[in-house]
Amino acid sequence: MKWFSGRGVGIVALSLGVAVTALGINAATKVNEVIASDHDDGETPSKGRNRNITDLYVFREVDQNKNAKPGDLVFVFNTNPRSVARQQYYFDPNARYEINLTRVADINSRPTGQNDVTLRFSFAAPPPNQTFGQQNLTLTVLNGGRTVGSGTGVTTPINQARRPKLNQISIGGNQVTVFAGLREDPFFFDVEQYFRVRAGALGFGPAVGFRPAAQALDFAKGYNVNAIVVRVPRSLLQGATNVTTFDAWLTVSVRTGNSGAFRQVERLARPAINEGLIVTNDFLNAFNSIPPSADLSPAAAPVLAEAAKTLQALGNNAQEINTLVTALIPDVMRIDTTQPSGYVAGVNSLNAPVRGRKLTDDVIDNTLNLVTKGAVRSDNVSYTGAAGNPAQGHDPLVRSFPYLALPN
Amino acid sequence: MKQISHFAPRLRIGGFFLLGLSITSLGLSLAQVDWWMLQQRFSQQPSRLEAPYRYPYNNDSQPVRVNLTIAPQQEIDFYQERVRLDPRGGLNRAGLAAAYLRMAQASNEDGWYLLAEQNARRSLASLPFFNTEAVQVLARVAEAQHDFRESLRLAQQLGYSSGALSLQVTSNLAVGNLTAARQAADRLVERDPNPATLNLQALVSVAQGKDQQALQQFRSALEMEQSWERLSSVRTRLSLGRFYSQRGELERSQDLYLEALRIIPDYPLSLVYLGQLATRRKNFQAAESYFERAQQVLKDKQTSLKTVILVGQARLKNLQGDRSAAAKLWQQAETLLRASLSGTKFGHRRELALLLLERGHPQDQQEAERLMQAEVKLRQDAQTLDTLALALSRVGNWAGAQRAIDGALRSGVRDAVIVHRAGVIAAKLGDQTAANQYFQRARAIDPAFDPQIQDLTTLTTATGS
Repeated sequence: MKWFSGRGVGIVALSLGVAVTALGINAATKVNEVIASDHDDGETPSKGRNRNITDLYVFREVDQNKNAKPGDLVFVFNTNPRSVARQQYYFDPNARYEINLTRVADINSRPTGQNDVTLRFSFAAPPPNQTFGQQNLTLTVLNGGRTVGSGTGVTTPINQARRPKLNQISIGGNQVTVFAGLREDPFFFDVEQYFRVRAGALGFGPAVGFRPAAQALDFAKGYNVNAIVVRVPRSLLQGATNVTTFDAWLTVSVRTGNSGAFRQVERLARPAINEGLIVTNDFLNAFNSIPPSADLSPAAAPVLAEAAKTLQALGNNAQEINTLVTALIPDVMRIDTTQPSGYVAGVNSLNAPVRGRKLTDDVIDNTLNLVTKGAVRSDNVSYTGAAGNPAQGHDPLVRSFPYLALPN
Repeated sequence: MKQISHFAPRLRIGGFFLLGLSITSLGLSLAQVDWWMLQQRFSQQPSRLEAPYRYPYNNDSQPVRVNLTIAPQQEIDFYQERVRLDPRGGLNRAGLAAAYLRMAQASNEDGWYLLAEQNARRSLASLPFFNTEAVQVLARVAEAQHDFRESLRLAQQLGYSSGALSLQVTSNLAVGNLTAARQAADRLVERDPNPATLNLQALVSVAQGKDQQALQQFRSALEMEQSWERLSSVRTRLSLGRFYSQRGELERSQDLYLEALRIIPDYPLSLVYLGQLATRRKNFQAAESYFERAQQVLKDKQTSLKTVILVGQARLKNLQGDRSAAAKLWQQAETLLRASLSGTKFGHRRELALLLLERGHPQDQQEAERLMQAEVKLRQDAQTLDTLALALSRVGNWAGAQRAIDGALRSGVRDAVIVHRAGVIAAKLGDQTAANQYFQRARAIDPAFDPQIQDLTTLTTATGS
């Protein structure tokens, strides 16, 4: 999850048709009025929130819904952090939203970041001057950089969230289901207290722990995200192979002018790795612009050094840091599709999580345990929340695809 | 016939009834007509621009009323509720501060900046670590108060985030550090190409006199615009229109300003720019209409744009020879500007100096010079140095004026007013050859340049001040 990287963009446009019809008054007085508001930052230009990745989730659908078809995988690609309730936000028509995958032959191997399969989503501009505009979307699937198929669909505007558009797209004989639209952000974390804890650990604040469950505050509660949820048969990802393990990571690339070239501006895989361990913003940006295959290159060395410094501050010795870095870098999310999904449902010989991530997995607690060797076990917030504490607890997930709770 | 005559009274009664109904319905209907919309529909000429300068998301037959404050108000409501539930938290209060800041920028009302600042400070008191949003709000408020050094100091705390980089661009532009502004702008666009960042990059290119680069960057900004970012689309066109105006392409400039007005009808800054351009073209009636409209739109608001309008109107009257009306308008503007300097941190020292210089009262010129000496301690962009040069020349310090104008020209900026002033100063100092070269250069930059209208030096002397 990335917490603070965007600013408000989006649109609320209220369309009011004012037709003057009485007595057939001439058409000259018949005016269509459109009232639009504007979410532009204006003088504080910053990265469009709709390009900012918040989270990747990937799980076997049967582990979320026992009635689902075995072999189907669900990927959730969330962007646009801190989307305010009841407001319509859009996907960026100048961007490509990509789920990248490596076919992994050996579950215990270190990730290579090789791009074997790409699920690329692009969006058309919404119709202008509408409060809740619908965007056309295109899914293109690439295998080794070559297009194997594509199809189109539409997004679900927030006012139609209860009737989500589940786009059925056939790719190479495989049925893919795509949802794109606003949903409640399923992430949960007492971010504010974590900042205090981290400041204490790094020596520029008093040493403090997390707040008890009755007082802990889930900062993500109440926000929405722009979600792309896609159901993919494993066979589509396997191609001509029979691999059952995949490494996944998300990227957002932006059109850079007339040439049609795109440049990667965002990347994310495991939760709380880059933002949890890297303090310097410029390093985060450097991380965002490279593929996982470059994570171990000399260019990324200063970034890794900072991650190591944070791990040291959290009480790890050199050997432990090396073990953690080996397990977590290159940053991808590995999923063994032969086993039940869950962030810490299983690790490989490198001690790296290899079971994907489900929507309600407490990844922060898992990561805190991992990087502090159990010294810090929990931030004391959960998806369902704590009784009597209104500052935490999310809406329940919906029972069927796309599973994410309805938007606020 | 009989039947007809039998029914005649009823027909007459029915006729009156129908007429009455018609008049009533007409009255009701007219009451429902949105006159603003009608005015927009019939007053707007179709756009003469081609893509990408023409806004792609408008339908000329369907006027759009844009309310820039709806979204920030919704965000304020949202964060106020969160702060109510989390009164001692830092992050939610930082979110509220940022929402106030967005409202300040959308509404042009200074009061929102104060709320933004108060909440950002309270947020930092609660959470002094990693609270980048609160720091960023304070930096933006400092910038609005023209405290560019403080803004840059705070931006430094933010590392190289997009927010920090955009602050570095704008504040370094203001303090005249174009090299730093360039680096930050290029880095910002590299990381985050969008209409707002590309527009900023273009403004740096304009400040450096790199016309071709600027045009390309403006174009790229327009090519990336989105239907839900109308303010960015307006700002890019206003910046580009201003650029063309400074190059003497007045028709093109006007087309872009009018396009901005189609995107956000009645946007005050677009109206002001159109008023200023019409003044320059000696289309005084049109200029008056634009200024009046801007005044109507802002009538209930506390915004510094009101003084810009008054000064524009004063200039208009002065150029038409109505010195007395001009004096009244200058007086009103002066009162507002002096109040801003004494009552708040959002004072507009340079604007007051410009007013005093333009009005030309001999007893005011020392004060104008003092104001500008104070202003250059805060910012040294080309326009500020040019105003200082004018103020120094008014008090007879021609050598100082030359130093100031040389500083302005060193930036590389291509501005006929500044270059012409350099010529006036050179001539006064006896270097007629250099003066002629400057005058020629001013004409080359802006073939439509008219010192009688554009240069305050001649504007006030021409009116006998």
